[in-house]
Amino acid sequence: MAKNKKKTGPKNIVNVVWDFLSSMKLGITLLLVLAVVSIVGTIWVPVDPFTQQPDYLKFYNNPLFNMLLGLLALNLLVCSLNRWKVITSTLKGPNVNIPENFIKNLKSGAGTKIGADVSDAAQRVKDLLKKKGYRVFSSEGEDMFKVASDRGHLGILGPYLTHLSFFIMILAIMIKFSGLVGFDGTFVGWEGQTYSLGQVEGIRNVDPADYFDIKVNNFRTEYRPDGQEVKQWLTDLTVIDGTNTFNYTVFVNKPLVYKGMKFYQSAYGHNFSGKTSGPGGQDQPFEVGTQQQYVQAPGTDIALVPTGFEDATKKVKLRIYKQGQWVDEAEAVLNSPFKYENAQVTFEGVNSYTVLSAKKDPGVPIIGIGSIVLILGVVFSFLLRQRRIWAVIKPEQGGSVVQIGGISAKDKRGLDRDLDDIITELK
Amino acid sequence: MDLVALEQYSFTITFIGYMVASIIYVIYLGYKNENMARVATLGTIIGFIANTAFLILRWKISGHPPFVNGYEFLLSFTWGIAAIYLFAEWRYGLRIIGAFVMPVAWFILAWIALKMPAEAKNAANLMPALQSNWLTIHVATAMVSYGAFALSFGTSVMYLIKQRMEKNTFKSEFNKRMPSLDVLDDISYKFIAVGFPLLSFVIISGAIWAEYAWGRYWSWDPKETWSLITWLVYAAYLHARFTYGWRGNKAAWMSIIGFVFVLFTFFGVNYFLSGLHAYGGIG
Repeated sequence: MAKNKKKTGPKNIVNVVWDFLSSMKLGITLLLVLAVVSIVGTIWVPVDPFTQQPDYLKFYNNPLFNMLLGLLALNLLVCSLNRWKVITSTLKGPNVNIPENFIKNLKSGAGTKIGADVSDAAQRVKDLLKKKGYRVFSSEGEDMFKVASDRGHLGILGPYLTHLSFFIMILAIMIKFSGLVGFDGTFVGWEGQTYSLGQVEGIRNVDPADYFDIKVNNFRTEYRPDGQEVKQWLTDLTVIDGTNTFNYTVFVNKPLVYKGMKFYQSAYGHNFSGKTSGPGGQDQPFEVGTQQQYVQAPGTDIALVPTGFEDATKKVKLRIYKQGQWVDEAEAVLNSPFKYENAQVTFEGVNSYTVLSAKKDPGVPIIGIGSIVLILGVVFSFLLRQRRIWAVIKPEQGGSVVQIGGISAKDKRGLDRDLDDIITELK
Repeated sequence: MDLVALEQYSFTITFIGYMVASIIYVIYLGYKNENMARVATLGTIIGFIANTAFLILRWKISGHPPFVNGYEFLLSFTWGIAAIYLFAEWRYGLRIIGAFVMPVAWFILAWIALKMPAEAKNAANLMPALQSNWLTIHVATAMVSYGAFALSFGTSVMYLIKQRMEKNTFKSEFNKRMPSLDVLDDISYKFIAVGFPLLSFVIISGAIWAEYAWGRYWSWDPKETWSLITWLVYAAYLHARFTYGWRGNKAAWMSIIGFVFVLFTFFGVNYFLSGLHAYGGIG
């Protein structure tokens, strides 16, 4: 007998791509591939030639990496669209018209005889289920009642919410990287000077009519009682915006937030001036900045590098170098001569500048919303665990027989407990 | 009352408590004596109380939450492991799991006792970036989630051992003592189901904090990236389990790899890689 071969038409390219993208296997594979690739990016790290710091962004901002992320997002989208029917039918409720032996084939289930007629028995089953928080559906047939019920069905929305949150966050990130709104810049301000917003390096997408001024009153470093450990860096400034003027102190973890813009304490520097002399006794003026330059006492092998300034005590923190080797640490009070071996240094003036990261990112509140949706989705998934229970009630000599059983992927223990309770109550 | 001395005593008691517990739980693997096993539970409880006392004392002494240097992190981690383990023992009554979980906590303390220099243990002040309430929220959540993953790791190791014994059809006493494969697989999943939402919150709270401190909610800093990598592995575990029924052997391996990544996120990043997050290093 010749076999009838069913000839399927050529699959068009759209179907092929859709099928590929709708595969959960692809999703799991991508999750793992992404994990491995991300590991590489933490090890194979180029050093930024200018700052000499590791530049992680070079790897993760690479278009290839972002395409991988994009593929995962697409896979997620297609899977979500495909599963929508399952979601809606689950939310509607379990199917009442199940075949009789469906319940008998369930892993969790039991049967019992009770001395009540079919409609009474069915009502008791329904009431017991309702008491346990189940939604109850029923149908009445010729000689039997069928009951279907579920609870925790909203849990099925959990993954949807979590996945939705990723798309929300992608949106926020795209907004940030589009460059069409917001900016990511740097504000550098010397003590005593006033600057316009327009002087922020990297500012864009802000109407000049909205510009305001920032006056840097003071940059200060607070030290711990030991005088060596930094406690906090603070910038006292005044915002001058037309008639609206106010003072504000920026420090790490407390940015200035104004007109949707944020200013974070990022860095700082000092310029010191004064005079220095060596064994010759002749004073020479000097001017140095931190970390880059040093004060060389003339005619000596002693150099001093200022490493910080404690405003409260007016002390300049110093590292002392002898013949180019770091030998000691000390403090010099402003306008007081500081002596080390045959070198003498008097710091007379200090002028500091503050560096604030200036940013505007309308995507941030969107990330906030995405975060809430993500957590909500995760909570839904793990706290709301679906249980479904079916029952068939048929007449039997002396009353009726109830066959009851259920399914729960995430909460078999709870399901079994519910079934036991109901059977016990029925008897 | 010398708080520093008290704090050192509490470390010692924690160490002894977890050590006694670990040793007895392991003996319990071969020698079934319920009274002896109860002593192990007692050891765990005493160790946990001492661990809690340590963290509180350290908080008082340093003036900040005990989540700043490596010493504090590690004692918080052991606290998380013990807390979750005690909960699991209460919930499931399977003391045999203790043999695979409490040694993790004890080895950490042993490493500290043998390898960590005294200076690294001193209470330090908070640097400017850490002066925030988010420190407590972010790190405390991490420690509980890590504890949950540690428990999942322990039961997954048990799964693989049990599976090997079943394959060899060697009806040893030990094999009979081990919980069934189904139970081990289920417990392992349940604790990942606890750890995963918490880890999600750790990552999010970290991002929110970074936004306040630096104006960047995500910088692909190695610590951030590794926490994401860990998260991806557990996400793959959950998806594979529910969609493809990947339970048992495959799930056990993924849970083990996930915990290895948890450990790397915790230790490896601080000691081997560098970045904004390198607070816990002793070097």
